[in-house]
Amino acid sequence: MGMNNHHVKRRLDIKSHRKNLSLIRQEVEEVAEECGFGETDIYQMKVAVSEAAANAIEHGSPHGEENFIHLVIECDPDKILIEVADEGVFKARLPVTNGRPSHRGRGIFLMTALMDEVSITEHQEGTVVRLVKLKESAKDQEQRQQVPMV
Amino acid sequence: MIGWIAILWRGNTEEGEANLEVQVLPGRIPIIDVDGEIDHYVVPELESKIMAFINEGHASVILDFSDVSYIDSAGIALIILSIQRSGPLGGKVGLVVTNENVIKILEIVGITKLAEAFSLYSSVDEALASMTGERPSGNE
Repeated sequence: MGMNNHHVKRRLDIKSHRKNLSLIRQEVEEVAEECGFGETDIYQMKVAVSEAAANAIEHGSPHGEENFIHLVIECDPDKILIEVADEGVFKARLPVTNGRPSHRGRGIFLMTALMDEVSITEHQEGTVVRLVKLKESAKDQEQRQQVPMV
Repeated sequence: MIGWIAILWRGNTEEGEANLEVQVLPGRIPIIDVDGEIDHYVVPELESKIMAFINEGHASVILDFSDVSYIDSAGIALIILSIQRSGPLGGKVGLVVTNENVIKILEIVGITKLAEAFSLYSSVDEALASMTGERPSGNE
């Protein structure tokens, strides 16, 4: 039986500090491995989640380290879903360069380039970034289904 | 030949780690060797060390990322900042990357197209041969 047939869910509340970014990446790597994703896919989702979390730490944590980043990782046979929720408001996080290269805009660009689905939703209690990556097999199936529609 | 290797910074996180060593040999382009994971946590420290080094008059540098296993937008910003600092000093940045996943990230953000002030190499030897041929080290 393939390990990728069951559903995996992990939920974590992590202190809002940059030093925890590697821990967040590690959690994603563990779940994604368990779900049967390949090395390249895992690397790409680690970058995407790290960008989302860095954003949350920098702009979604009005009380600094007293705030938390809420991470949910969930996978089924077709895809992995990673949710990064913070405790702030979204309006502050548009690219601000201050005369130096902005990695803010680049971070969001990377998320969209590396994942199959990215959504950013503002809620009363914080902002939620939702990242989805499809398994290669699921992508093939989706393409086949789309062919008659074109 | 006299040379020296300085360990400028060694940073540890609970899960990750990044180190930075600088190798300067007379008449050669300095090599800044970084290993580990270059993320938003380690970049501020890394950035201040590398910028201080370039500002000391080392216009051209080789950033040896052969042993970098992870890079994100903070690391990309660091590379771009290095290019922006070294360019006006008449220098060039050579970046050595071997990890396929890291190369892919560089390609996605389009950094590999900045050919004027920047080149990507697969080894330090290749970087030294190419950069020394084009432009001697600004650090003599």
